[in-house]
Amino acid sequence: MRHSRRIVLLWTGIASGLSLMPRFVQAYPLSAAADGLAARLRTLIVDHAAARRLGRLYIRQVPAEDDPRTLARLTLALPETQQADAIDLDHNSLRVRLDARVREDFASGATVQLDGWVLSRTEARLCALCR
Amino acid sequence: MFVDAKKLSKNFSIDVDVCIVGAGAGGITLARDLASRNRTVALFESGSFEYDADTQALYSGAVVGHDFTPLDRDRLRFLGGTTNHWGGSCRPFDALDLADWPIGLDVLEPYYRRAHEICQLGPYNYDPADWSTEDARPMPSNAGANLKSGLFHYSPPTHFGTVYRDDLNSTDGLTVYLNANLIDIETSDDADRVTGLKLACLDGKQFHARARHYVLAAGGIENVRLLLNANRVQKVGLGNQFDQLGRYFMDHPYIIGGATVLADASSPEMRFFTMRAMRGSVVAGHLCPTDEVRRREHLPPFAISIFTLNGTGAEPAPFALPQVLRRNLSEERANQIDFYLSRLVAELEKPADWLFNKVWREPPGTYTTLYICGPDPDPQSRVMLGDGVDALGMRRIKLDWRLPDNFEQQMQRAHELLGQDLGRAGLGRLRIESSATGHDPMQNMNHGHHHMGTTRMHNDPHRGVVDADCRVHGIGNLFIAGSSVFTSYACDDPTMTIVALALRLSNHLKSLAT
Repeated sequence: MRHSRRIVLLWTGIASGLSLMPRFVQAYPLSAAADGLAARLRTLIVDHAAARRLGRLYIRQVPAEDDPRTLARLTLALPETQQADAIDLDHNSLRVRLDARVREDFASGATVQLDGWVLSRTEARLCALCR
Repeated sequence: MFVDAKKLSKNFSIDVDVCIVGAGAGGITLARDLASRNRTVALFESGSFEYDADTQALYSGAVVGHDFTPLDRDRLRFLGGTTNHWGGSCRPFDALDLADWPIGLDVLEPYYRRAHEICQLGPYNYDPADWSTEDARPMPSNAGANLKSGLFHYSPPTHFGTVYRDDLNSTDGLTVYLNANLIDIETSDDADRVTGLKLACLDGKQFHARARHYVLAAGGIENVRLLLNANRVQKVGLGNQFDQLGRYFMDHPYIIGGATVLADASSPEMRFFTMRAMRGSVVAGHLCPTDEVRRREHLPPFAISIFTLNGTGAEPAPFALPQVLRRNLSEERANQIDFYLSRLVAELEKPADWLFNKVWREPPGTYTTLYICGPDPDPQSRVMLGDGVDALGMRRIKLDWRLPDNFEQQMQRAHELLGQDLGRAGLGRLRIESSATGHDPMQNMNHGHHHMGTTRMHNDPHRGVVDADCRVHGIGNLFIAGSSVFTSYACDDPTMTIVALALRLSNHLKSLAT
């Protein structure tokens, strides 16, 4: 229970903070938008230590994705031009979109094994963003 | 009635309609059913009512292949046979399981229904949806899912020698000879008919039996030994003219701890895996591959049951989850898993409010799996005559059990498919254990003590020992009952199928007699 409160507080705190700094990123070039999206996605993970460990394993399996911008783009499967819009999504909308991606991965067999864990490729990429 | 063969007069002779050798699930079922239709039956049991070490020692033999339980411990040689230590799990073969058999599910199903009663089970209904409750329901069977829910019914388990003892004693026309060991099968000169059985007690007394029909129901290993030892006319053993006898031996390999599952312990889907008593039956859910997945992935039939590791939301596990579990899936390990991954998995799974309300109010459940499969038939996996003889002068057996080289890969793939389905259903995540994760499940490999396939049923005598009627190819009046006739093995405890096949054989013998 102690952990749970900490996680929820951390999570909602970060999410609230992000909601206060929304639209300026839209004015940025595409590469900056990708950076912004990557940062935004990282906030969805609270336990970065665990994610880092799995993320490193994923990059070892797929070195071609060893780039936060690539990972951010692939995680939500967005064209570059729509990345900035995704940064504007509120926390729950982002989660819902991510959740749908995760389900699609599992349904289509787009899974990876990291340290034995069968994870969706989207989850693995999310972890890799936390390295 | 029961007769102690030790008390028979010297050179006593028996003459009946049907002689049956072996009083286990198959032999007892067949004997009772035939006798109830006015056939005279002699049922020969090597042991007596209780375990006896000298009799049990007749089962000794050598193991030369894959690790296997010593042959004199893997089976039981007294009234009721190996049902005296069976687990009770029951499920009929499905149509795909029987694809290579000369008979289909439509033929077997009526006998399965009767077998259900004999195995003291509740209603014959294996549709998981029909066993749903508010608290326990099968995983959603979405299109494209890899696995489908299945159901095991659990017999008390029925110890056939105990449960049917009074019936065996009182049924007209049925005599059970205890301490009666088959030592030779006598045939015509061209071995196309059995002419009599030669039997002996451990004290040396011998006697004879004659019948119109003879049935070996002595178990998947012993049936072979009896036929191979009967080699006075057919030198390679009776029914072995095409070198098929003893081949295709299989047991069900199973592994506890092939994967760790983290899931919401309060979900009805996870509770469906626990053993529950309802509607006069005891049932537990499991998962098995869809037909499409089995074909696409070239996987053997398998079933995965899921058990709680930390006890969250759990009822007692359906099996005696033994030291294996405690040794390899300890509390320390569960804590370790929780420490670095359960939070992550929960985070990934649902939004924060859901987490708070659903998951973090209780810790996520930690589960382990039991994987059991029926590998493809392998002619090199076999029972042969070995060195040495037993107390009756019969040559002992030698077992060379072989498993496919890709057994571990198949198990891992099965768990990967389960992991995908758990993720798809939003129920949790799964970790495939291996030597790389520090918990090599292959070290926990065990087998179901189910001896199958050694006198397999096939229309072609070059590919099997008995025909679709369980008659030994080339011999007009010799039949086999039991799991040795299985053409392939599914992944189920064979007892209910043994009983169903015995009932079917009984029908066939009755038709011949009339």
